[in-house]
Amino acid sequence: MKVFSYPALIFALAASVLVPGCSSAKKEIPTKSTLKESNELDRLGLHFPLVTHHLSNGLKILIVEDPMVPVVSYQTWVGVGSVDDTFGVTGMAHLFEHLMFKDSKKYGPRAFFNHLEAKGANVNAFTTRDYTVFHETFVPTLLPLVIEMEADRLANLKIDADLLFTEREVVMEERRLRAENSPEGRMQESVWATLFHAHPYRWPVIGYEEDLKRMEVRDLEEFFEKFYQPGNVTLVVVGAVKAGDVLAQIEKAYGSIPGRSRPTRRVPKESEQVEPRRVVLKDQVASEKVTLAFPSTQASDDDTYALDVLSNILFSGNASRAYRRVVEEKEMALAVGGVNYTPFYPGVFMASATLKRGFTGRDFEVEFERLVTEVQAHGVTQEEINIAVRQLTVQTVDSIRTAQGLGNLIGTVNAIFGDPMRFKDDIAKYSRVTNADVIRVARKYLVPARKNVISLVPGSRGSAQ
Amino acid sequence: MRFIIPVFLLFCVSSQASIDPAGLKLPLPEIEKLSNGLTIAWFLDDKLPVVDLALRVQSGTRSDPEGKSGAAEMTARMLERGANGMSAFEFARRVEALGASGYADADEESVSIGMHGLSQDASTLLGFVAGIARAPAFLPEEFRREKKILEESWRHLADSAQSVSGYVFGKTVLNGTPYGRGSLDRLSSLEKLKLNDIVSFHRSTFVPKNSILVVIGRVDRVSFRKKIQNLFGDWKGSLPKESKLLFRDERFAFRRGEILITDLPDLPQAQIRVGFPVPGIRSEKRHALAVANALLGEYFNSRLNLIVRDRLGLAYGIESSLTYFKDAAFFSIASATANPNVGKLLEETLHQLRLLKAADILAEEVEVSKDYLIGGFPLRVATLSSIANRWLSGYSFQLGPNFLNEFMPKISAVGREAVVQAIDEAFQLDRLVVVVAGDAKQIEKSLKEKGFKRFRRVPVKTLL
Repeated sequence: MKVFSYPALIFALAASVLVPGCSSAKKEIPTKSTLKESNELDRLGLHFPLVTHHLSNGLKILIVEDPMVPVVSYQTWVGVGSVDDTFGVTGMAHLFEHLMFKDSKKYGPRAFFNHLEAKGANVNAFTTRDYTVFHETFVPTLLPLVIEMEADRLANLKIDADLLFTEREVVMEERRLRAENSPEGRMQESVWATLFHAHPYRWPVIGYEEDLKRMEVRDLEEFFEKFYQPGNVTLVVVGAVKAGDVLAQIEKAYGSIPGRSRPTRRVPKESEQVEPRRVVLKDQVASEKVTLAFPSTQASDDDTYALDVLSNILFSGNASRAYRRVVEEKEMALAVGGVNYTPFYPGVFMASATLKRGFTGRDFEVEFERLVTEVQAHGVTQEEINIAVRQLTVQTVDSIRTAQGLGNLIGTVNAIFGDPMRFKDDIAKYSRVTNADVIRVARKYLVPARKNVISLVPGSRGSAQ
Repeated sequence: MRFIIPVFLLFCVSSQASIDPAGLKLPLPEIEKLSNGLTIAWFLDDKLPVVDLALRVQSGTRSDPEGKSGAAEMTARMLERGANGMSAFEFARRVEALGASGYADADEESVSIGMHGLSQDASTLLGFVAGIARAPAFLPEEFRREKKILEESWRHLADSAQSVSGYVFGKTVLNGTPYGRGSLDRLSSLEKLKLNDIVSFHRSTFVPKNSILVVIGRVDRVSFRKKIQNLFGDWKGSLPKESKLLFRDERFAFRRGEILITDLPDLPQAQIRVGFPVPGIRSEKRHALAVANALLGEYFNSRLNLIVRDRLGLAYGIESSLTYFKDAAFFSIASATANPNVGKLLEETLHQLRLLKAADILAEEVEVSKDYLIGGFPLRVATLSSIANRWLSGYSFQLGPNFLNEFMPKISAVGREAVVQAIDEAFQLDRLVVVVAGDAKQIEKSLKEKGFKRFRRVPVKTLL
């Protein structure tokens, strides 16, 4: 039982993005950059000496030395996500994430598990709509091997039909686990499919089963050739390392891998939504669940900051407006939550609730609209804005407690903005949000014509629109 | 990362490049007691400007009085509903105004309350902890509302195959032990629970001799110690009697060779749990069992994952684990597969368990599993909070003050013979509990095809 749920910033970051244009093959002298802007994190005494470097093949490298704990986080950020899949062949970016662990020329099958995990390293990966990340956390003695192995699979991955067949079965089980067996998973798929009709955000990252079955080895080889090359990759290294040593090892391991320009994304723009949309799903649940979703901003849009603050004011904690109204005063919901989720392209502002028996999604819809109308008409208090900013600040400090956490933050912000230290600016920008900003974004984005209602009601499965 | 404020090394290592099992020394807390018996554990560290405060009261759901199942859970919930003369909203607003967060939780052994926020607010946060522990509001209106929320939440148990399978498995494997009732044994118990029961549970268990306050992060110890004395120094009460109640429930009675199935007919994938009781946390076999668990199913390179996921493509994941309480323990394997594949997955899983039991274990496998556990240990204790959490569990289990630093040397000392012996003793395959939740018709067909014959359906409605 938490007093409040996490605020929006991390959701905004976790959504993200493609590394913008690092196609020029230029060699830079490593530089240590420190931030000049004085802000809340500086006041708290946090400084990150970041080393940034590019190899001539386009590979970008970000290093933060942290000698305090004998642990290293090594992260490979590839500019490919489900947004790069195509209709009818969805799920390839994610399936590829799995295949990257199967076999490579020099180190052979299951090398990351045989050589690294077997020595205690934490080895894993994840795929988002906008990018794919491979990450290892380990004791420093393993660093040279990690660099060699990551370079090997980037240069020499091996895929064959048998590997594809077995791993596709595994992914289909993952899909059943996360989407088909889970009421919340089904609702999430429906949210994106309802909001987006043209944009590739409309399909799930994991893809559809029938699409997965269609994939062949040659499709995957083309995919690898296009996306898995140094010009489309950023390495993030955080922990007990010496930047100079790391750069020399990376140069040696990756320097000869041919790099090309970053693949150009041609993503169809989503038309403006002009009327509300509704979807009703059925499942064996004890009571109704509902999500209201509105098209939102992309991470780089300055309206994001006011929407994030509004999201915190509405949803973050037991003193938040939505919690008080629907859980405490109206006693209609067991739980309420929401987020302004802003990836590289325009995302979604969501409000969700699990209703008590006897209440319907429509009841929640009415109350949520009242809450929004109150903000649109009267705004919020300065105290509420201050609380939201404070929550976002604490959360940022929390997110960098570990080498992996700091690496994730740097990698994500770099992927969204091209500037790995941009998160410090974010806190300052949140601090500048005014009541007028909150009113303006509430009036602009949270309007009935842009509303999408996804309900999940008790009953046998199947959906009706 | 480098910070302006000087920091001390979180770890002392003989060589930064080494993972010598004897070389890693984790910081132990400094322990002291107030005159009233309240234990304080200090995990101080200047690295980040944050602080965590946790007050753990060593009476949890196993201490629910007879006929009062739900008392610990409802107490924890009520602790979040106002304190120090403030309403729940006023209290939450005060906490959130600092950007801080708080919690109150009940588990089998304890009720814990805590605060997390910036170090500059540490004194205020301590005041909140003291207020929650010593002056909760316990208002009738809040009790009615929280009870309703718990009741409604309980009804959602069957929304997920994961919850159902875990619930049925836990109840069955822990039947006859002090555990297994969980937060609530059945819905009808909640109806009988009164606010007075909560007040009584709180009064008898929230006493200094039954509590430990853990301070983690950046604070000035001298001034903070004074603050603790001010807020907790006059806290009184005698140690509660330990509960002797055992959990017994015929709905979850163990019957040898029987597979328990809960029918969730719409779901395409079944959740599977397999396991049995094992010797407790203070057993000498604990470290050898940890190696056996790693070898069988703790990580990607374990046997089960290699076969079930990588070779057969039957599951996204299959994982084994050891779960310890103070006076009971069990081993379990968890996985999920399409309903028609349940028989195949279960057949392979049981085959692997029998191989281990028959000592079909290579010395090389043992060494690899040890390397995994030893190499991964520094990652699992990479933050002071993670060290403190682990230390607190060991403290509650009475494992001795230095047990964390003993982990790597003790794992290092485990050999193949010790693993074989530990498995021989601990793997009670005649006490095997098997639980499956999913589409029962497809599951039973799949099981019959693989020669499994004895099933018992556990209807969803009986779970509540």
